[in-house]
Amino acid sequence: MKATKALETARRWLATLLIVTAVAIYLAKHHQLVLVPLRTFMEAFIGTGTRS
Amino acid sequence: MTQILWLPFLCTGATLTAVWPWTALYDRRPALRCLTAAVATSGWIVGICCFLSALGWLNRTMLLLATAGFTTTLLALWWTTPLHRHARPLELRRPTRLGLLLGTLTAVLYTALLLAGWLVPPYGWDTLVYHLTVIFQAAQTGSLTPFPFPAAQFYFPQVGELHSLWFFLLAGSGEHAWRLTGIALIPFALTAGLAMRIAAEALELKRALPWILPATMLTPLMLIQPLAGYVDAAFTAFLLAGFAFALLAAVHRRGSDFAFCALSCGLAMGTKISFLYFCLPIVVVLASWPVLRSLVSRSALYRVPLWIALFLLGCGYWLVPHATKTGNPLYPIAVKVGSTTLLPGPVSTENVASERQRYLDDGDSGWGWWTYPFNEKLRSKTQYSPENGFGPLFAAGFVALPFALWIAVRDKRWLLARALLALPATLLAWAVLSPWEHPRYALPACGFALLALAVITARVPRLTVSGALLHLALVAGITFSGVAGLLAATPDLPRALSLTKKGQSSPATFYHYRYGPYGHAFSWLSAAERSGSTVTFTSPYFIAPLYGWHGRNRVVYRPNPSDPSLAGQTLLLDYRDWRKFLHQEEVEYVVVWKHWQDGQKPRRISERWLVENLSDFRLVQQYSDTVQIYEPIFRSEELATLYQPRSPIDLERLSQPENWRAEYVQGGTVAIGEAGERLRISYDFNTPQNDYLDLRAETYWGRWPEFGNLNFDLAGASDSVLLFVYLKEHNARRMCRYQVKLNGSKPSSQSISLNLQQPDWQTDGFDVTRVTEMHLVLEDALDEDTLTSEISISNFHLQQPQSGA
Repeated sequence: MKATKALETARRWLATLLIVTAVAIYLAKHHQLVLVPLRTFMEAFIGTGTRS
Repeated sequence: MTQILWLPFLCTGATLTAVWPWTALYDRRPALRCLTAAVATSGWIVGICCFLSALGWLNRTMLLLATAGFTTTLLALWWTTPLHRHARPLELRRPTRLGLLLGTLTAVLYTALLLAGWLVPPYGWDTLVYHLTVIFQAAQTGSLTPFPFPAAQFYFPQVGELHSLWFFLLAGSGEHAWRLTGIALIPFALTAGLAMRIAAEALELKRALPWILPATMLTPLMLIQPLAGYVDAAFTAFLLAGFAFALLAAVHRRGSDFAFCALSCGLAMGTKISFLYFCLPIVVVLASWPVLRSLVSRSALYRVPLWIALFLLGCGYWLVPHATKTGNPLYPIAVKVGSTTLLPGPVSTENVASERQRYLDDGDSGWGWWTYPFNEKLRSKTQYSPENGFGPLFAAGFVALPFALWIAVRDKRWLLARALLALPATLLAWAVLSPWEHPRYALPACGFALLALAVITARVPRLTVSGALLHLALVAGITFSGVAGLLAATPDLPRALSLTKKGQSSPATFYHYRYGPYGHAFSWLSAAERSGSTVTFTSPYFIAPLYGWHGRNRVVYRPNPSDPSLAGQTLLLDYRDWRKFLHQEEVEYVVVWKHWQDGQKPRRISERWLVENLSDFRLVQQYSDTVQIYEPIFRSEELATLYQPRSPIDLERLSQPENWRAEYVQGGTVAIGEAGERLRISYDFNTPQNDYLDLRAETYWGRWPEFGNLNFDLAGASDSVLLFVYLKEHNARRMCRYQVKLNGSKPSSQSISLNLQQPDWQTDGFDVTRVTEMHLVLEDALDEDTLTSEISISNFHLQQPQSGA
């Protein structure tokens, strides 16, 4: 019984870690899709607004 | 501006309001009632547009009257009949904190998307070629008659476009209404999200309920697609709705589940005909013995005609006429299984070039798709576009699928297992049957991937370390998807905002920076001072902007031999035909879009006609080297002869060496010259291998079928060489071939006559009307021989067939 429970926990952790890793890899590869436009937006729009 | 735009929202809201009480007869779950109301409203929009189109009354007034009549009738029927007593009370549940958090995020991001929609008009390439053209054409003609350019897209069902048309017409069809054509497509994300929520409910994946709707809606492509004007998000919404209703049918086996499944599937088919293979997940879900048994029960059989009618409501307006006229409901697409043609049609997807290299590394044979979900690239750069952008949760669902499937099989939850097969089934259908390999075509897979994640979250208790990690990853993934998708939804957002701030937000300014010289041409054609011009074009790179954003220009076109071949169209066969067309239609401007990849090289016959007869046109505008706008000039001497009977075709140009060039030479040399009034071809076959030369001349007189034979005189040829004549269409894969029978071993003169109706050999689908080039192919009869000689050719002429000749 204990072995079955341990196996289930291991499976649950494995699935969780795979999902978390997939999301982490994805975010690491694509983070500039958020950061670059936001930086441009801050510079171009809010910056212009301040000057005017 | 906003005063004229409230009407489409009011009419859509009124339809939803009128439909809403009726959904209480079906179910008490709010999400299911919302989904049902959304699908029914789409059904109304499509149904009424098709009905009014059939009568030629597709206009704003009739849409208003019909919608007012429909909503009033529905509401009156509901309250005056005893039906409302059977309404089930709405089952409201308190939202969870996670649901509230993600719901708020979704609302904020979609509000921002709606606002961004006001800043930019639809900008996608396909949108400016055909999606918007369908809308302008319908708004001008009052019907859904295909635009006369013979592209398959104009013959496809147009459910997605009809939703934009509904908004465009009701908003008054003006400059600002154009912006609404993209905004009209935004609500499909909600339909898709609701569908996934219903699917999770049907599969008893309760822990997924707080996040699955926001996760679906915040898929980057779902945010990006509407403002580009593409309809893949609409297709996804209807397909996922069909999937959700199929799951409900599999669980409850209620007639209403099947009915709404049929309507959703019809609408999906009416949006994109690739539903034909993307319907596989729905088929798999319904493929169980209890469901099949319920389908063949007596009461169900009684309802089958209703289900068929609902399916056809979504797509029958296009498919039924195609089927009755051509025997192929998917006309003009040919459907083949292996080498067997199931449904014949002039357009085949067999030789379509894959676009894979836009997304994968150079030379990748397709294995790169396995890692693509973790690094979504376009042209070697990590980025989202209207073509790609599945987001992190698709990657997570992709890796979670084997675990989820294992859990479903272990627990013997066969419906869940069949539902999880939707992801591989969609990806397999996309990989095998969709030849272009654009990721956006597989967008429904994003929804199916969430089901795999939902199975895992159902198994991981939330109040454990693993549960917290999992939910943290989910929230991070959803937030990232939404923000990145929103930022990618509006190209050059900072500039759009900056222009808006200065009060310069207009289609003109947007297209100027988006499409450069093309955008300047769009502006000129849309100039407010012009009350509406008649415009035609040589290349179909952009059609919709020719209408102007006021939609007042009349765009006319008649196909020529360089266009795709579709049955039943009268072709413009030569320059004189084209001039007659320009004169008859009173064309004021001919727009020449030069393809940016080709530069100055004319690719279309009409462009070549224009270049060769520039004195018949006046250059009105030129933007860079890529856009020219001409005005046709008709002099009295031309008008005096334009409508007179045609003079004999002059083929003298084929006897002139400057009209011939060596296309391909192997194992020898060739010189093309003149000998008196004859074309002289001197060749030197000097290798012991097969020596071969291929000479090409442009033709496009187009009137070949009026004649029986093509004749010419040949001198100097002996049977030590083989001489072939090829006639090729603009699509050079289609051709016919003649072998010229030479007189003997000594060079001699002979008259050659080729029967145009009976070539020695021809490819499938070859049409002599579309011949645009002639090839002379000469090769040595015996490979080991070396030869230095010449032939001369003259007196090309066409003649009627002589009896007994």
